[in-house]
Amino acid sequence: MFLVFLLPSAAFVQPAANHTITVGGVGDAMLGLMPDELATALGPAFDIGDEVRITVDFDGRIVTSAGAVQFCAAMTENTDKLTLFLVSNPGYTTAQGVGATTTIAEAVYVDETLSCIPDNQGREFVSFANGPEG
Amino acid sequence: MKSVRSRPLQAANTTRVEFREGHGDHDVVAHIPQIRSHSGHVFGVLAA
Repeated sequence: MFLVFLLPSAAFVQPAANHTITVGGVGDAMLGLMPDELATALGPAFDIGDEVRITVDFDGRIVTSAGAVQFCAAMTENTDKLTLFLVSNPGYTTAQGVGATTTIAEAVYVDETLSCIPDNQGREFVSFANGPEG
Repeated sequence: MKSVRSRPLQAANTTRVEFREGHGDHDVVAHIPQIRSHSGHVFGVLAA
């Protein structure tokens, strides 16, 4: 009779949060969603702020959870669809473990392509792909 | 896009990136401060 209290309940089992950065988005937030669709995709644990200027170029939404900024979602193509996610929260990484606070040297050697940009008017790029080739 | 797989980046704790196309050296942070997902690419911003 008391055993029932010891069994795990589905009501208390929370799915692991998806914190993976991919080419398609960040966690459950996917490129191409509308802001209201983003709210549905993320669920009630996330709060999506009003549209604000989040970079020098783009407006977007700041996504928070438990009082912490998770990432920003921007509209870059003059539509209401989200086309850019910006992640400064180190809790989010690519499948290979690259995220904010990863060193450049570490990023060079991961098994994926990661480009880096000095975020200035020059907009120059450095591409890391499976380590340096010299 | 001016891209390079830069030899100076092999060094751990490097803080410089050398561009090949006549742009000289650039001081950059050792840590990537921001990652972006956009248009089928994932990239880090060196100066967020």
